[in-house]
Amino acid sequence: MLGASVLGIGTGVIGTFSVLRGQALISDAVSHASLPGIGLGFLIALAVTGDGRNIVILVLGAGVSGGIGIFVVQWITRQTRLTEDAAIGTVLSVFFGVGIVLMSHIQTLPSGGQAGLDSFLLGSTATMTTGEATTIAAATLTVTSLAILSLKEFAIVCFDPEHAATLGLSVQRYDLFMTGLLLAIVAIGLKTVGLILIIALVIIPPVAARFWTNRLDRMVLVSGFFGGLSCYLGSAVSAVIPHMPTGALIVLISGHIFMMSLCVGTRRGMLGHLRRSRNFRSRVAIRQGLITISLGRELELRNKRKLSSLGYLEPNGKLTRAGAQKVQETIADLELWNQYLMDFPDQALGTVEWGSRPITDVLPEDLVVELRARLPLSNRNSTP
Amino acid sequence: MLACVACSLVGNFLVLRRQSLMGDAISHAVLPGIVGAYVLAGVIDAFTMMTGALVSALVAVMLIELTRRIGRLEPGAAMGTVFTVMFAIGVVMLEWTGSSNVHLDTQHALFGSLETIIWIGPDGTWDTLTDPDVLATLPRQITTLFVVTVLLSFLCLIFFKELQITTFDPAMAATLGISPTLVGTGLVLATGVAAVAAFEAVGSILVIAMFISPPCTARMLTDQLTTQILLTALVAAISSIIGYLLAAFGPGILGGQHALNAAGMVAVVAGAFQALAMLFAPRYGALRRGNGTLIP
Amino acid sequence: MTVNTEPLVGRPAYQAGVAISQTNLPLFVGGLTVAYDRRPVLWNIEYTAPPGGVVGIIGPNGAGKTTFLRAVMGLIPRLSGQIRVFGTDIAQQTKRVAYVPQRTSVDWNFPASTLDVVTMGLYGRIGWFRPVRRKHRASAMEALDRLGLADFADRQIGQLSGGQQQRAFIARALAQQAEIYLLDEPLAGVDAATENRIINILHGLGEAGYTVLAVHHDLSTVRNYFSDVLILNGQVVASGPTGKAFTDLALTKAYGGRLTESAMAISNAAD
Repeated sequence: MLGASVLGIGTGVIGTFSVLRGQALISDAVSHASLPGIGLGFLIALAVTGDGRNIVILVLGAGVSGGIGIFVVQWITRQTRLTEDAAIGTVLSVFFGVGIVLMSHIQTLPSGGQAGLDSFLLGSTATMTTGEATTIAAATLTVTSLAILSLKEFAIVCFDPEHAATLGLSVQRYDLFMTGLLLAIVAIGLKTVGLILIIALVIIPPVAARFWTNRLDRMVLVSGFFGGLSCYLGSAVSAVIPHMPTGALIVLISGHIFMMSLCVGTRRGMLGHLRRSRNFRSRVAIRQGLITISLGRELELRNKRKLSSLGYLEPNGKLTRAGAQKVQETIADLELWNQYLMDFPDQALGTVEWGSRPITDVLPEDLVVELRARLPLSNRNSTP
Repeated sequence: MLACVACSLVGNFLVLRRQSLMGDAISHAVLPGIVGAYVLAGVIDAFTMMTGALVSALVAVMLIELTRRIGRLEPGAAMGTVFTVMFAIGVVMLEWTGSSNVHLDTQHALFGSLETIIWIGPDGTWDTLTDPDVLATLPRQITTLFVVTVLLSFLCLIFFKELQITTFDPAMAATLGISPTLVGTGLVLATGVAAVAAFEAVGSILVIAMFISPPCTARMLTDQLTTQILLTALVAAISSIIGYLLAAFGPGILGGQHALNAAGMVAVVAGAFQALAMLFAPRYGALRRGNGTLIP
Repeated sequence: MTVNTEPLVGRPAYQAGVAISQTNLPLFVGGLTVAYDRRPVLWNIEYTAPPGGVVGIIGPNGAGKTTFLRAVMGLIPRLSGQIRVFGTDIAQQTKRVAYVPQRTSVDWNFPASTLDVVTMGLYGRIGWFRPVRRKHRASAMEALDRLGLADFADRQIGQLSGGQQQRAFIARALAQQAEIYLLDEPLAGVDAATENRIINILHGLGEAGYTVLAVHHDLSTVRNYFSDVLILNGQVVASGPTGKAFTDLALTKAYGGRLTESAMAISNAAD
């Protein structure tokens, strides 16, 4: 169980990088592509040691064939007209096909003993020996600490590859390193959560973490925490309820974490998003209405209702004193925004809600004063 | 073989839309729907399973869109999240309801059991295929698949125009009053239908091979959409036959005792075709373009 | 924007004289605001396109030129504002408006021939469930011929040159037989001969009484190519006949510090 939690933390951490790098589904290809490696590993272990279930050889096999899978994906994307998604799809299904053919061969071998192999598909912690658990935990720790040690470099490579290159960091090498870590963690995790659901562990925790923070270091932490939590709870539940595949339970739990993050996440959660965009809409509608009035144009019906409800319009459609003042204020404010747009176009267009809020709420006081000073004389008297 | 053709028809548009992995996502995501339908109805019949699968395909697509829009995530991450969770739900439901003891079980869901449908083992003969008695007792999966294949081919024909334009230039399509969202959803549903139909025969993962490999192969060989679709069907059909035969008879020839998994073999053959196409295609093959070597 | 400083109290919120819905103008855009991620890209756009004329939409990068076209076509949701085509809402008039997206917006590897692409312009007219017939192909062929692409009808679109691809897109718009044409950078990355050819086609449309709006980048050719301009920078900086609206003041306002000296020199020389 502890081993599983460590694994969850590891996948969470490493997954963060691959999700941010836009390579979430590479893990899909890797995990499916590892099946033939497991099959071959089994056959080799069987030939060498007489027992196919040597976890080190199996994991190595998985890693190697997963690596070949990645290589093929990259080759197809680069060398042919097929797109990356098609490449991933092909590789995962064809490699998986090879794997299945191997598996069906293994099942017919007299030595049998394929029982342990089944757990690679859907995962199981129940059949894991203490030794195996320790191996997994230790390997995960190694891989994860490698990732954390190079956090700074990864951050630069993820966000700004060109900048990274100017700093003398080899983007390609770090990419390779990152992919290598991903490969390692997937291979290690196969046994616990199974080859299909390991993808979930690599993708879901970072995606869920994304809803809570915009900073990479925190995202890594949150994602690792979510991963660990899912694995811990998942394997706990599967220990209590017999016959339940561990992998599926872990993923279910991480799915819940994801849903919760989606709804109430502080950074990008659905509720916050909806609230903010509703407020924004309403502000735009009000301003737009006021501008329309100042131009002497016909109001859109919904804007008219909005303005009436705020007491800017009388029922007969005439402006109230408060309304007239608001119109003047808005126009004056827009003058300033215009000036800002003219003098600092890039900053202005990049400002959240520019033009739709009073400028003094958004920009620092001294900048507003300066903008006011720059206004053409004819307009200056209109500013309050 | 029908399964391959059905899937590959739909797959054409998925590949061109850069949504190949949608096939992957959908084929995983339909699992809870299928199991749910089975649990609710208590029977395995094509219609209930189809309905269940379609419902979950729709749910999956909606969730993916929601995640992508609100979380502002790249589609890959959104897809990966949704389909793995749905698949997990499916697996848990499968174990929970004990339906694994009946007809559906995880192994079959994953690998497919082509063998249980028609099995001409190494000791079988071609006679079985032509024997009217055997044909009369054709399993219902074949009927389902047949219906689905015909249906999908028909749909591809009728909506060829719409599929073509929404795939090529969605913005333009929208301005002409052909809603890309509507057509896209239709395509996803078709994907769902094909996935379910093929699911029993080849399992949920190898379905993807059928979705993607043949269209990719055809993509390397032609620049005409109609040619591409026909070629795809042909490649799919050939690879399924060869794959099946290899699985059934290959081991015998090599001196083995037992047949190999046929669905897996079909995927391997499809992959081999694609590899050949990628390397040697007259115009677009990696070896013919002269702008690179085999090793990047 | 001019500020109305006269007392506003008691003034009616709308006056009958400017009831826009009554007009029969080809294209009217009122109070259009579009935002991505709560960052407004276009704020309060007011614009009326002239009947019969070729309008150049200019402005710095990120000024919302493409967004303007897409919002007019209803391809992106608008926060507020109305779009009217010949006096009615655009949603009911889609067949009268043709939109040519940027060339780079589609996958040119798509397995289709030049003729196929142009025929797509007719799909709106053909309608659901109906196949493409010979007469449709014939009229697509005609459009191709007008742009001098008849010889390339069977080529796969990826094998056309950039200029030819652009012409194929314009042929597709012609095949639509619309009355308003919105083009996003029709002259981007084409050679001089193609540029002339396209501009002549656009002028032909303008003279025939159709309204053409084209996003354009090269300030030096604005005066020669366009009868009218719409200068955008998040807002409408200036609009109207090129002679009146395309001024140094407007350009400075639109481009601010971003107007490079060479571009300035060009606009000065054109004065």
